[in-house]
Amino acid sequence: MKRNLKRIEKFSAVFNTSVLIVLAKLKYLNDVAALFKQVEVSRAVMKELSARKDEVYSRVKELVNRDVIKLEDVERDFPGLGRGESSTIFVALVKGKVAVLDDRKARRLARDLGITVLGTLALLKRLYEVGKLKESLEELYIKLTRLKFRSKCFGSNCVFNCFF
Amino acid sequence: MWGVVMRGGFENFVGLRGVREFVVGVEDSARSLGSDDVTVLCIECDKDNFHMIFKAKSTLNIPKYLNAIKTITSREIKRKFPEVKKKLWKSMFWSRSYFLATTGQVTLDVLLKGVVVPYRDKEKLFLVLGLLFAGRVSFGKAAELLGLRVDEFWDLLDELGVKFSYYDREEVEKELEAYRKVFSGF
Repeated sequence: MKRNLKRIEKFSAVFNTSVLIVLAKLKYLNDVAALFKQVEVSRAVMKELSARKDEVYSRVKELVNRDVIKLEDVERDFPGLGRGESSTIFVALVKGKVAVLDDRKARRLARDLGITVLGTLALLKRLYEVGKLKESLEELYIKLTRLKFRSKCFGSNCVFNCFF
Repeated sequence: MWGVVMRGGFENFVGLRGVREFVVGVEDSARSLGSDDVTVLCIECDKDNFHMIFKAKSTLNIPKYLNAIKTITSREIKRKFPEVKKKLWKSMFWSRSYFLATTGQVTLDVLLKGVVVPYRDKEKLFLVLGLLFAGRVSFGKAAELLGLRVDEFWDLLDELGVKFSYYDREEVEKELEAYRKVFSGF
């Protein structure tokens, strides 16, 4: 187990807008940041977040100020992708970090570039496994649905059940 | 099935006689033109544009049909309400362009709901949704194009009743694989 923990510490991650929004709204940002050696966001992502100056933005901003999250001065544009997604992929590629993205198109591009890609649900699964989840899985599911997080079922499979 | 948006110089005119009369006028023209080839499903009128959803046989010459609607409605409206003429530039009632999209990329449900969705630029909304569903742009890009933050865009999609997920079977498998790699030491 100890060896595993050491291995986990090796990974740093770059977060995209949607991930930060969901985690901040569920109040798990701090816990998730503790899962990685370092968490970074790009300036483009901060700009996207700042479109609405709500609690999500203030929470992320506070973590950036406390140096829990490192701000990377990167703004990139890839065709077909948003500025936040492009910058996230760019930072992950250049620095060899894990990219945390939700959008399918962005994830496919990142994987094609050889980047390890995680999503919001994978992070929540990890919190659940290390016992940091404050609510039951049912409550978490209801909360995610209320946030309108795009994780609807495909075929007869519930995405949420595939993870937990 | 097609959705069309046309812009015209009726901002002042609508103020004069009300939206209702205008819509009835357009609807009559559209239906009389359609004969057997076209079924008009829905018409809605905004401040300076109107939206129509219609079903057409594949043999219909759509540009010709739309231009005929423009000509006839323009003529009829000018005849019925001559005061309109004074408000127009170069006596043209409609702008020269129109926006036309098949409902193939956006389902009819979405289109019909889209007619009442409080997003100011519906042309843009449908166009962006079409691009998103066709996989041409990502969620982030779509939100960016609409000038919304991602979570606002989720709310909008929810309001439209769109069930569009980040995940499919392949994504779930790939993500669980990456999860094992990152968190469980391979």
